[in-house]
Amino acid sequence: MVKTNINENHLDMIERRNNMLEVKNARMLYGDLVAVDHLSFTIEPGAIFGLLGTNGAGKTTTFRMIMGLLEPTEGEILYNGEKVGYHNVNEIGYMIEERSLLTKITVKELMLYFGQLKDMEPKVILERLDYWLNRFDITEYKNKKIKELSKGNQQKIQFISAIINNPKLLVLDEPFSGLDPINMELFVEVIRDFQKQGSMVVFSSHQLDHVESFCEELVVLEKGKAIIEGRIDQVKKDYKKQNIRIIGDVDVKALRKIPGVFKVIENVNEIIAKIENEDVANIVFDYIRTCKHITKYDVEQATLSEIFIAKVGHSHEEV
Amino acid sequence: MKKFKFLVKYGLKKRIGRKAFLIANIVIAVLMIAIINIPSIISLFGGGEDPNEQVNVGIINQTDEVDLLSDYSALMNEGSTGVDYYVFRTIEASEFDLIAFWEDADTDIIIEITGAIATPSITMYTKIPGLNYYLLSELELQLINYQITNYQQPMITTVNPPDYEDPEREAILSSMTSLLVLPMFILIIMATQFVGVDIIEEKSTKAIETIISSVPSKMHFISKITASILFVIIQGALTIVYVTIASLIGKLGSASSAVTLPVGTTSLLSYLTDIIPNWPVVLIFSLLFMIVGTLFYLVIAALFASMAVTQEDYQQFQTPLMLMLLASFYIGIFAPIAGGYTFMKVMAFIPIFTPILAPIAFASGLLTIGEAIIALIAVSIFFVLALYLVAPVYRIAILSYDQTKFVARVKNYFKKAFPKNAKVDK
Repeated sequence: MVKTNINENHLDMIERRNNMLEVKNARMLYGDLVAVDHLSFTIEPGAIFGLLGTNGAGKTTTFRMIMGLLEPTEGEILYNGEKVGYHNVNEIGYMIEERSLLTKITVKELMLYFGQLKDMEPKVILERLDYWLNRFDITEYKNKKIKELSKGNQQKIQFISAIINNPKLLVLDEPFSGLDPINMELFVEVIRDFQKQGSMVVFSSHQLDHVESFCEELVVLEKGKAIIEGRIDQVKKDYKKQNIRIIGDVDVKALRKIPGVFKVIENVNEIIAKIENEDVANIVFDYIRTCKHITKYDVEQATLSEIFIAKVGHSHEEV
Repeated sequence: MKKFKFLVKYGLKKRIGRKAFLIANIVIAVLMIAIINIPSIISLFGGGEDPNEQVNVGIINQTDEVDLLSDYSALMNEGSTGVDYYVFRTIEASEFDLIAFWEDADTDIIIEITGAIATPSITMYTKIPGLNYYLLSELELQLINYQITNYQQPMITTVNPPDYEDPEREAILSSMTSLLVLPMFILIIMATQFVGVDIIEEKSTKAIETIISSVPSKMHFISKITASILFVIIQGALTIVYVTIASLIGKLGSASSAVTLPVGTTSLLSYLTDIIPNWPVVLIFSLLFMIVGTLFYLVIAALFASMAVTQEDYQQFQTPLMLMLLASFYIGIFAPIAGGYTFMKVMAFIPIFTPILAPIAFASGLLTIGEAIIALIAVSIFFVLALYLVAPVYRIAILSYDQTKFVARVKNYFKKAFPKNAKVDK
């Protein structure tokens, strides 16, 4: 009986390995420059994974390694238990940070070109193209040259080119850059749809506060090193520092003097008190009870931006 | 393989399915027709040989046939209206001074006929060797006209000026230059431009990242070269069709009474067929030289395009390549004119010049078939070596946006492509 359980566990582990992206201790050197330094993470089916960091942190290099465009100097990257290669690339969708479109051809010609490079049949490409153009509300651009499209619409076309093959792994480098909030939501919706159908999504972004609304796990890179990693809720919990949003007649000077309150920001409508940990919230609450006309008292976890700035700042200090 | 076929098909369609291809072909066809029928065109405008220019022929008649000069003159000027084209005069054997003849501008040709009329010996001193065949065959016809019973083929000796250079050879080389250099130059330029522009277009728009994430860089590289060489073959075949059409037009033109072609010339192609009897071998070798040579140039153009980041970059990088091609073109054009046959022969063995110069050198007899094979092998080895060296560099360079100086960039790419401790890539 015990033996059977072991076998089941082993099979389950193999099954899981066969459906995931594993970045194992990946290191990438450009001469003496360490672009990515011993990076490890795993993405399972149906997960949305964020790869965050400042410019030059190593995000694009990591994506290129995932796509097999760069060979890690050390470590390995496995997709479904094997190295990413041209044998399994057809089930991966890749969107690079900058526009990567042939501007002199039409949307239809471009999709036929990129789609057939993924071994897709022209008929299927055109069917899916119609669906996505309709979904993104740009059907009229099907026969227009790419160069005639606006920046936002080019971004949509590039996104469609990454998802036209219905990928099981979607690699998106800065997919939201340059998008207005409405289109950003549209992109998020589509990404969520891929998540629901069990695809793995890994993306990078500078818009950290937007990331935390739909991403469950992340790695924050700085100079190639992971300075924050794990599930977002856990990252926030581990960070300990919190924010209290207050609306009412509060003596800011008195608030600043409370032990554990390390910063107070006075906005037009509200006051934000930044505290060292959740225990301080009780002390602040005791003080607020003494104040008049309090209409809001809200304790929040620190935002990703705050954690990012704090960690990057700390990291810089270490250097 | 499916992706490779698709890439080649896509690349080829991109070139052939465009208006530019149609326009280029119209231009090439017109150019071919014009070049091949230059003699007819010149004649149409009253150019070419001056029909009123007379040829002065001196006859040293030491046979017993006293009417030979007058009869020969009548035969040669048969059909002339008014003024005789060939002006004959008698020269006494004792008066004849060969050195004075070469310096004398008044007489163009002296024909010395000695011995019995049935078995004459003929010596022709000529400043116009192009007329030798015609004058001698007419003279023999005249001798036959006398209906000599025991007539025998005469002993014929032709003496050309001491500084004489075979104009036929020059004519062949000049014709080769027109027929081979120009189309080959155009084709190689077109192919290298296409492969370079194609690659740099994909690279400068960053579309290359999406493409290389779907197909290996080596496949991308070879597909570009294959598509371009197929284009060259198609365009080359079309050019041959244009040459054939041009030749037919030339023949039709010469049959027309409105066109007066120089003696014995219908079109440049028919003229070449006469003087290059082994033209099928020449054609096959020319095509082989063109294909292998173009492949070599394509590999280099692809390398430069992969190293460039922008269109401007590529235009700058490809300059040496274009200069090499231009040098080949000018050597092909001017070496025969300047009499630099040895120079051209040597250059034909240098692989970068071989594609354009070797076919001309071979067609004009400067290269033997063995030497042509050696030149072909040399350029083939050069191509394989280039392919071997370029493919790994292309893999590195195509995804790099390094904007350092050209030499530093090349050094860097080669260093990365051939690391000391090579690691196997996917």
